[in-house]
Amino acid sequence: MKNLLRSLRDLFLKPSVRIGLGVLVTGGFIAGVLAWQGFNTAMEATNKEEFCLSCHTMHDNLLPELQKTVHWNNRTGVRARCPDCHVPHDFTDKVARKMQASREVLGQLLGTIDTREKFKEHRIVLAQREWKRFSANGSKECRACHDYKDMDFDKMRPASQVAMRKAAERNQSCVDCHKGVAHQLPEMKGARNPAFDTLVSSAAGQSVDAGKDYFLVVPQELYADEGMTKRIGAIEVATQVKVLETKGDAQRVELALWRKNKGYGRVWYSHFGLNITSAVLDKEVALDASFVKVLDTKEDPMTGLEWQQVTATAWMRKGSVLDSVEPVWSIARASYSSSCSVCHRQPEEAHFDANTWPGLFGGMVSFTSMDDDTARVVLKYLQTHSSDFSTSHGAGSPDSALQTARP
Amino acid sequence: MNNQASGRTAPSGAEPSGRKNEWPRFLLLAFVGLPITMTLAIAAYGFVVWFLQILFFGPPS
Ligand code: HEC
Ligand code: HEC
Ligand code: HEC
Ligand code: HEC
Repeated sequence: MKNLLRSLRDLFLKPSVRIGLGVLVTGGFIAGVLAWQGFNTAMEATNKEEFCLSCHTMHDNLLPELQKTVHWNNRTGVRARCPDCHVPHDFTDKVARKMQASREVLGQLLGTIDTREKFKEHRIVLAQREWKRFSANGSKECRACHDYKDMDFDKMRPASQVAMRKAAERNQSCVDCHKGVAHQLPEMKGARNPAFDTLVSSAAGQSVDAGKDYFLVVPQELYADEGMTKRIGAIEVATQVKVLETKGDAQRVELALWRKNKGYGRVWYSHFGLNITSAVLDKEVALDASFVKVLDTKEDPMTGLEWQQVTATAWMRKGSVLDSVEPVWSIARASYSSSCSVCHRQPEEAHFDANTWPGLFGGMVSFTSMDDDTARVVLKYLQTHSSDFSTSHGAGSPDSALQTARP
Repeated sequence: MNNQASGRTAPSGAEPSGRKNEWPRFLLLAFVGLPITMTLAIAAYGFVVWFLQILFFGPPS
């Protein structure tokens, strides 16, 4: 060690004996130029699309998807290559990103995502990392090719103009709205909204008294028997049920809902005249008069359809109800205001009625990254806070409307 | 200092390594040693920035 240090010191501090200063400097200069050139060439080589695609995971999964998009093949012949979007363009961030790739090399060696199935499963994690990166840098990489200041909004398709003008005003990150421009979006179905986990754990701690009303915090299967072997349908989140008894892992609940007297009457709604889905039963069960009791029949003046007030009892897994529906709505509210305010201000819940929301929501939800469960809760939240329920809009809740309508 | 000064005034002097190995050592240093050091330093810089991003800054803005 000491020897090494000494020879190093000698190397740097002892003047040379036989080589002239000019030769030394020139030699050093040439070496420097070559080294820097070599370094840049190496950097560039790892920034080529061929390099990205030399890992078969990338080649098999991402390339065919990119090839279907406008970034691969278009009218103007400008191609976006993998690194154009995925590697930062300035030196420090680029070097940091290259070093970060050591994790990817490790993943390659361990085969973390070496099959299509494994890749699809892990994809959401990878995509979320990229989304976070793009949102932190304002989609800098996209804007190296197309930026707001160079856009002629009048030439855009009418569908794009409003949203894009607003985006430019706010200087918003492209990937906030343009997710999945280059690849298939990850499957959101497997993704779970972590907010629900806290709900489920508080539901596990909820003490339940027979004869009282509770609200579901997660969708549940319904069974005909307490052993929970014969499935007869499913019940939606936020549906109100009356708990009758608890036996082992099972709970017998009473549903008091509405359905349309049309077809099999499989879909049950929470309110008369409103398409707020609360439970979906199997066909045979829905037709079974010994299971379903019809309490009342009314005609909806809007559609001329006859609605039945129905009740039934069924078994479901215990530990999934709360005595208040508010915690469910607060998750829905948070998700609604974060996901639906990206392109426009989120509409007032009470701006539309309960039967209009599903159509509007269905057209919009694909723009967001909501998973299926969350989307269902948010839709239900919007419906139950729509103009049909809002007192400030003067419509009055349908319950009170019912009350007055009853003889 | 003294040693070096005397080395210059007496080029034929008594430093064994100086005379014989100077050229190979120069070439090795300029074309192998320092480029490798540079690459390592840049890599280390990259790692440091990455770790700082993980720990403090978050992704680059
Ligand atoms: C290498 C340059 C380049 C980069 C980087 C790039 N794009 Fe593009 N983009 C293009 C080109 C070229 C077109 C096609 C223009 C045409 O229609 O001829 C295009 C088209 C688009 C379109 C229109 C798609 C359509 O259906 O008409 C969108 C949206 C888009 N890019 C978003 C993005 C986003 C988001 C990013 C960042 C993740 C990005 N682009 C990065 C070059 C690039
Ligand atoms: C507020 C959300 C939002 C943001 C942010 C946003 N866009 Fe868009 N953009 C849209 C919507 C919505 C459309 C219409 C898409 C459609 O109809 O399929 C659109 C359309 C486009 C189009 C197609 C234009 C045409 O000819 O019709 C391009 C290109 C585009 N965006 C690029 C970008 C780029 C680049 C950025 C970032 C600099 C960006 N967008 C940011 C919402 C956004
Ligand atoms: C136009 C820009 C663009 C190009 C070109 C592009 N990507 Fe992507 N890539 C994205 C965006 C944006 C995401 C974030 C997920 C999403 O929105 O689909 C992403 C996500 C990914 C992911 C994470 C997993 C996933 O699917 O979400 C991988 C891996 C990936 N890209 C690899 C590649 C490879 C390999 C290429 C070259 C064949 C490539 N990308 C070309 C924009 C691009
Ligand atoms: C990618 C951008 C984007 C996202 C995200 C988005 N929207 Fe929209 N939304 C639009 C655009 C663009 C229009 C106008 C379309 C039109 O007029 O045809 C619109 C229109 C609407 C309208 C119609 C307004 C009216 O008065 O008729 C409603 C309601 C709506 N969005 C609700 C939502 C909800 C709920 C969400 C969350 C699930 C959402 N939007 C998320 C882009 C978006």
